Amino acid sequence: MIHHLVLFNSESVILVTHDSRQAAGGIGREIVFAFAEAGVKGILLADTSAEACAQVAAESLSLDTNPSYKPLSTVVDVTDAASIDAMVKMAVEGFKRIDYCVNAFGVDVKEYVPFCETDPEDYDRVLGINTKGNFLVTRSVGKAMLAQEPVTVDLGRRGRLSDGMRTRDVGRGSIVNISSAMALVAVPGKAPYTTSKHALTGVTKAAGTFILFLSPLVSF
Amino acid sequence: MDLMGAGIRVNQVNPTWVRTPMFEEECRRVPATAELIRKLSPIKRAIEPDEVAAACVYLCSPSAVTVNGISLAMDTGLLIGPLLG
Repeated sequence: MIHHLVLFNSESVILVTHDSRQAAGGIGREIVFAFAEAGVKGILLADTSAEACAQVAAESLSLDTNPSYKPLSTVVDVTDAASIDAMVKMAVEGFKRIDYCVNAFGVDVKEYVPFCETDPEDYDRVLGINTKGNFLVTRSVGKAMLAQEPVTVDLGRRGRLSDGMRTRDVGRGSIVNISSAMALVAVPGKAPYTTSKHALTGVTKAAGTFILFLSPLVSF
Repeated sequence: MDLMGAGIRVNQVNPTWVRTPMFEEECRRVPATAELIRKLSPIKRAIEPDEVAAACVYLCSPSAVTVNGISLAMDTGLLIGPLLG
């Protein structure tokens, strides 16, 4: 069982954003199933399609391992900050907190063309979703996580091995962005996609630093 | 509050080809993609979505509190560098 591979918090709640109409839906679906199997208490699945995410949420009910498990689903437009805020509000109102957020949406370029043939509008569209969409969701979820209490988990059998340490502080939350190997290298014909994923690395790292810079104990 | 600060971790996973509708569309646009993967990839196939999901479970889990700001390359070693021979 997967929860034997890693320590897992059965009181945790996850927000998954994906996009079944925009071709990346396969990963979001598996993320919902994997976290249901791992034992989360709740999942809010947000998608561009109400029908698609309701179906995945329903399917997850045959896989979950937590007796308190509850899946919710909603529609979101990741290019719209107000839509994202409404999604985050729904998760917080439905589950009281958001422990994890996995962003599994993304779009490809409309056509594979040499760099100089790239359509500026397609560049804006791809970066608007793959980069700015992740920025907007991480920003909104980050605000919600900052407003909630940190979590401590029981170490179980792991606690027997460490000197008196029976619990571990795991903080307020964890966010994972599904990026691509195209964040690390380039391939021909996909300038907007490659750029969007390289830029997403910046979003991830910049967001990762806010655990330092927003700390009340860190001053300059 | 300790040195964890706000205690919020942000990471990303960076897979090569993942068997998704986006990948299937790429194979439709560029039929040689499947053969390219067979030639380039040590596992000779696209990554399955469940393999990406498992990495996300780990990165979110209490077992990964020391992991922050990383890009987890899921590339079967393809990006190590040019493999000549």
